Amino acid sequence: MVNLANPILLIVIPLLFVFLIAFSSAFSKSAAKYLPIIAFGINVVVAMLLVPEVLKNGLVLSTTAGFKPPIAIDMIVDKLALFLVIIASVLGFVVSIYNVAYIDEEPEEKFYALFTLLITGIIWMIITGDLFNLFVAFEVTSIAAFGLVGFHRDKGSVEAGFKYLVMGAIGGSLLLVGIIMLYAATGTLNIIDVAQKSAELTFQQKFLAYALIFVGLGIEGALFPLNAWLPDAHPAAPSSVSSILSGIMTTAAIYAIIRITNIIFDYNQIYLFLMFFALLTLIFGEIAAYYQKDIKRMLAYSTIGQTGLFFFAFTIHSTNGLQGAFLQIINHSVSKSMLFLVVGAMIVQVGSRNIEDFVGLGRKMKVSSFFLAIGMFSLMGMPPFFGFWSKLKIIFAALQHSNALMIGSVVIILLMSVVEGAYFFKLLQMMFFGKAEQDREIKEASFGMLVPVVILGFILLFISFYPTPVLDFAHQAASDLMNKNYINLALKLGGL
Amino acid sequence: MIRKIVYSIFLATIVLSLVMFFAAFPFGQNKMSVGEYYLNHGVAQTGASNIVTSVVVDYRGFDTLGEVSVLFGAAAGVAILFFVLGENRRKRREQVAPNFIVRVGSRIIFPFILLFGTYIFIHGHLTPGGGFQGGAIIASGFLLLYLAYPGTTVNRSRLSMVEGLAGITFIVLGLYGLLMPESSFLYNFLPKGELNALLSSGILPIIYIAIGFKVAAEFAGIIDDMMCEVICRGGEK
Repeated sequence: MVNLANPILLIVIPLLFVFLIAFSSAFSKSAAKYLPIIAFGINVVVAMLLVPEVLKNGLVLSTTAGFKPPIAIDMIVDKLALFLVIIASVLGFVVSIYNVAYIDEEPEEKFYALFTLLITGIIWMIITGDLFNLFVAFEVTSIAAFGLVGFHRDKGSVEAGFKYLVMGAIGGSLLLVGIIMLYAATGTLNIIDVAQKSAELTFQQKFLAYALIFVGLGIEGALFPLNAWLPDAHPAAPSSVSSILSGIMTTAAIYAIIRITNIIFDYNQIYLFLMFFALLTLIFGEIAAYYQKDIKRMLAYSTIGQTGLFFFAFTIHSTNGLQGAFLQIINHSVSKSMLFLVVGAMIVQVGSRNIEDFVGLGRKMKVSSFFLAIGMFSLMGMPPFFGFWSKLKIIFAALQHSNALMIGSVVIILLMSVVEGAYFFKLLQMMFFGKAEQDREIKEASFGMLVPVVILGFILLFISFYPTPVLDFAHQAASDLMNKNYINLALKLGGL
Repeated sequence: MIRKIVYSIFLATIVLSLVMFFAAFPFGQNKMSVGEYYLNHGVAQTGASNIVTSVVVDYRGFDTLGEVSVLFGAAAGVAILFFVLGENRRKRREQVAPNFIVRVGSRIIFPFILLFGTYIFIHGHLTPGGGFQGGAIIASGFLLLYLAYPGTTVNRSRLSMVEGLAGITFIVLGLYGLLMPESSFLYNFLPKGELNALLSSGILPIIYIAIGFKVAAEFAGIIDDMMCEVICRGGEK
């Protein structure tokens, strides 16, 4: 019997469904709507089956082509990767349900195929154990995203898609050159094998390769000077796509940076340098979000700010810092995806993305507005919600190193939380207490769009009031990454 | 002025780090660890006399699955951006007909292009070439037809059926490897056969044939979309 707890199935099953969508579109128009739901439903099951295996062994490794890892490509799922895979699969499942009610524009079957491909590529980026395969996954993700950003085919979205295409293509090329340099220096592509062999290399030899990989992934991960595409691309895309782009795609790129930094370029000085970028990203994102009039643009800038925050937590370079980073990743993925879905449903009703048109909506669309408020509170870090725990962890982790730099950073984080609170409260106050000039006919969002929002909302509420298992799991994942346990485990399991 | 200074600092950093990279690079030493393994064991382990194919489809076959998906995504993206509704797709603008030599010549040469492309991807495991190259050659035949006869259309739903079926074939072949005792995706479960025979090296030629069909269908779709963007009447923009 086939062992279903095999990481490769996480990629291959959705990919099979991508091709099934293309195949079925020849016979039936409506099959394509429901196939992504089945694909990611299976993915959630496989990810759940992997949980006990990963907890028992610390890591699950799966090979391809029947050869041992440095020869062939392998997939590695450790605690951290599992963490993100579960988020990506659940988001994929939930947003696929949302799509059924939301997408009503031709060519639908192409949209569903690309949407499934996008999430497949994200999962692929997370679990691959091979550098070149990482590049391939990066390309799969970005190519799918380019098409989806331009899906509405109006002037704005085509322009945003083109901008993203140019920047993404440059990023991909830089990433490829960086990987080629590492391959030239070590003669192997397997990440664990590169980690072993690059230990002999000097800082100078690795510097250019690392810098290229960092810039390449940083473009996708929206780090400060490289994120010009994001504020255009996220609002222009259909809301369900923005929810995936914001919720998990930038996170996956940051995750790849974290992995590669930890494995190949683990010098203390580099963390200081990365911290500089992280804080700049945080400040830029939050302040730009404050001035936005377009609600989706505001959320997109807030994504940049949040990315800066969890990247900062990573650069603290301690187990607690990493734990904070992972918690913040969960908080951001769940809340921001939910916010984009709610806002998408509201835009359908209101017919505009301008914040001023949202006045008084809190009394018309009660359920949607309730979940919008929960998501925003959690992103701000209001006490009962999950965002509070993650921000608290990050601040404590930073204060453990009691030097001036860390204290300064904490001050910046707190100030930026205030800015974040200011623009979210401004919107909420307008929605719940503002009076619309003329009475508009606005109904509650349709049932099909409300269900996914409610699912994500309950996940967020559940982890808010019962955070202990998540905190523990994040702590284990963080200490595994910090002690580089996974390298030894992979060596033992993979027989490198 | 400031811009020039910033540029020169960037340039100097890049040159400096390149110099540092190459200064410590062990020239003349054998740095191939994985590559050497492929060269020494490739023929025996995969049964393909084309060593490139043994790496592309067997050892690193999972990358190829990714490349196939990238091409699929690109074709779907082009189809989204150049989308024209079905009824408008059939209305064509007035066009100057190409001259006699182009029309007759393309008719004569078209079957040979198909034959050559098929030859390239069927012999992917024996001679230079493979599914991607063969598929691109076949698609170039379609391009020729479009140029010679502006009224040419391809049946898009049949094309997406072919590309879907080819992708499904690739993945199902790979999944079958999970049922084998090795339990590994894309495991070569068919007999390797005799070296240099057409029917040899297990699943490699089957995968390359599937890729050939897929690439041909996707490129033909891209050509159809781009031609339609130029000649279809009443695009909705």
